[in-house]
Amino acid sequence: MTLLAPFADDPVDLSAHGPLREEVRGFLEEERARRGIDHWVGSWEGFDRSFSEALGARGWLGMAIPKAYGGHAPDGPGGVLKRYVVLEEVLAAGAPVACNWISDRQSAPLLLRFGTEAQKQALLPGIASGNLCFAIGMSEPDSGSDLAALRTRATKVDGGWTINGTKVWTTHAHLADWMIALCRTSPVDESDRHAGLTQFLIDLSAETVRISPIINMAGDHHFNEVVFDDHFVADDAVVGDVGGGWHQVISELAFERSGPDRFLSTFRLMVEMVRAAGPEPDRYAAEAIGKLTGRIWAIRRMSLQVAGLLEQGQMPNVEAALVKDLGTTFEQSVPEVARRVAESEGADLSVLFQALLDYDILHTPSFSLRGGTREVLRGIIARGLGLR
Amino acid sequence: MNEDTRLLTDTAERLLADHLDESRPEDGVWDAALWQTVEEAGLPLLLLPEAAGGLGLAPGDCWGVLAALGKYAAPAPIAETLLAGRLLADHGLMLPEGPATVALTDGPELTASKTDDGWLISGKVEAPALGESQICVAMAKAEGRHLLCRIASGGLAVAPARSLSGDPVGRIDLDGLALPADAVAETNDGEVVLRQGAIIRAVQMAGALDAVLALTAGYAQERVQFGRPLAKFQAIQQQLAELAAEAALATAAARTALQYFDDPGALFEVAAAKSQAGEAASRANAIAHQVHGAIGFTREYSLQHLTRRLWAWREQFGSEAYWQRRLGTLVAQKGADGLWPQLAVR
Repeated sequence: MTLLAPFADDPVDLSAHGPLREEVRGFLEEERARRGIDHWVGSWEGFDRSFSEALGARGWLGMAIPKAYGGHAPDGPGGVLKRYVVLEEVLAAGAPVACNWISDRQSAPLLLRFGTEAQKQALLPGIASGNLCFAIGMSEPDSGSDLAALRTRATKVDGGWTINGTKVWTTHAHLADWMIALCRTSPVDESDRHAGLTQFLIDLSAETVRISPIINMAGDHHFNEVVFDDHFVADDAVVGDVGGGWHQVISELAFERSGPDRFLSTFRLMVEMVRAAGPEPDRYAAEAIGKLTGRIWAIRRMSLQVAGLLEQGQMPNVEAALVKDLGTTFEQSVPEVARRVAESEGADLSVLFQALLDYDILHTPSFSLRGGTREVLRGIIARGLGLR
Repeated sequence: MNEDTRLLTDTAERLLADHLDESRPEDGVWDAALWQTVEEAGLPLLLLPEAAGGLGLAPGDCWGVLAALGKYAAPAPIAETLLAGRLLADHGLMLPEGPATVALTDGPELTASKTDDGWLISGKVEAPALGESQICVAMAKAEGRHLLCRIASGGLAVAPARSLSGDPVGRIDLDGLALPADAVAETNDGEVVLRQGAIIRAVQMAGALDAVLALTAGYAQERVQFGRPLAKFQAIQQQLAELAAEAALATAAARTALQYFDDPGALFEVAAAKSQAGEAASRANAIAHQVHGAIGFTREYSLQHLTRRLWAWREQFGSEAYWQRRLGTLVAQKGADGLWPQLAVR
């Protein structure tokens, strides 16, 4: 099966980037000490602009952005894999990356590929330095998995567009600077529902953009509702082609689905679970730890193979969906296993373990929803298998 | 994969595909014609260094052929002969011609005691196709020293049995079997048979999972119920997607472990790869049989060649529980803060 072929290719090996990895680890230790934080909780839910700026100052944001736009992409190959090393170290430490996450992971590649020269010059340097935060403008009250059903409308007016509609589940819109919003720019064509969609850059500080919180069940304010009320944008706010938004969004999702963020969300809990079980775990705890460890190791190997394809400039959408499906299922299994290990012989539970367990139990339901539900991903895989 | 290894893989695939049609003998019947074919093609020599008459390929370059042994569910000890030859060559021992095998082990080893001109070996040996093989490679222990032994099993009274797959598994109970000095080599690596056996099985399992996926996806597209192919039902699509993910996972894990075939320090990789192959096999088999319905449960349909072997192989050279226990123990010993550095070492 060609679908499996990339995973049987020569294994991607990151050991050449050992010095970079050590440098990132040292930086993370210093930052934690400097901020007086014993343990980071939450990682890409954790919003800290100063931390993102510190990452940017070290040259660890915009690693895929060319130097001409303030980024740090190498002239030759190797950029994707170096970026992978930084990302996984930062996530494994649980560091707060929410401020730079969306912008560096998907907004920057999108702008690089489809943005105008003026957009690139205006926005990419800020992304690379960590002080421009982007939000995703896709989901709406009546269009979740069925994204093409969205109803936010951009109407052509003199010199620009008037936007009306509502976006929901917009993570950190209340803190972000920009949104890239997908809007309908021509009426639905039932024979091609994906036509007539366009992406726009939205300045979230505008008065005609109303942002209100949607509190999640854990009591946190990450999500927002974003309402456009006759919001005017100039013609230069169009990203890419008018009517070409669907294709652009799909390419954005390939970057979103295969990275270490898809299997490390509950990694800090896994670490504290190992600490709780101690150096001589009982038979149950040893097997449980070994089961999770083997799984995450193998998923990381898959994720690295996909990173290798991205490095070659390919668009491995189906392969990325395979990684995300397995990765999110793994992340969700960690708290369930940790609960049982907590009851193993001689387990010594820390306050941190309990805090992480509670946090993760309340947050895991979202892991197989965000960035495409499990069912949508499996539909993409099924298409890759030629079934639909 | 370079051009040479691609050619080698194509040759092996064609040869196995041609031979292993529906008329294939099963249930432990020795397929002399198959053995002759693979021997003439030089497959048993694949892993051997050039000095021992092999091609001198890196283990990673043998992926395609090793996976093909799983993909076609080859009912002969080809992988075992490959491994036995490699083990003997690496330890300076001679490999006789003909089929060979390797003792299945994750438990207590054989014991050996020194005599004037060799060794006396005692203990139980269980190995695939033991009765059909000329020799069996096994580890023994003598006063804390690890010995790799070449046991001439051809003349011994082997108790025949069959694994879940129907492939023969033989057992012998050795009680002071005399081995000449040139059939025994001392080694520091007491787990080499277990580790390399687990890697080979993990690769075969990845190959078999690839075939299970292809067979099941193909069947779902052909079989029509309620007026449309099974493949058009979302419930079936979702299951096949999960099967594909498990097969991809097992492939990435086994391919990485194969890269570290010769590394005695790669216990982490081996434990992870073999246990994940087992986990993937369990889930994939369940899905494949569910999607196939009753036909997949029959002897005549070819799914069982693959699924029965996957069930048998997941037990051999360490089950999921065995390797997960070892991996968990390893992680616990290194401590919580050592977990990430171990995972991200490469």
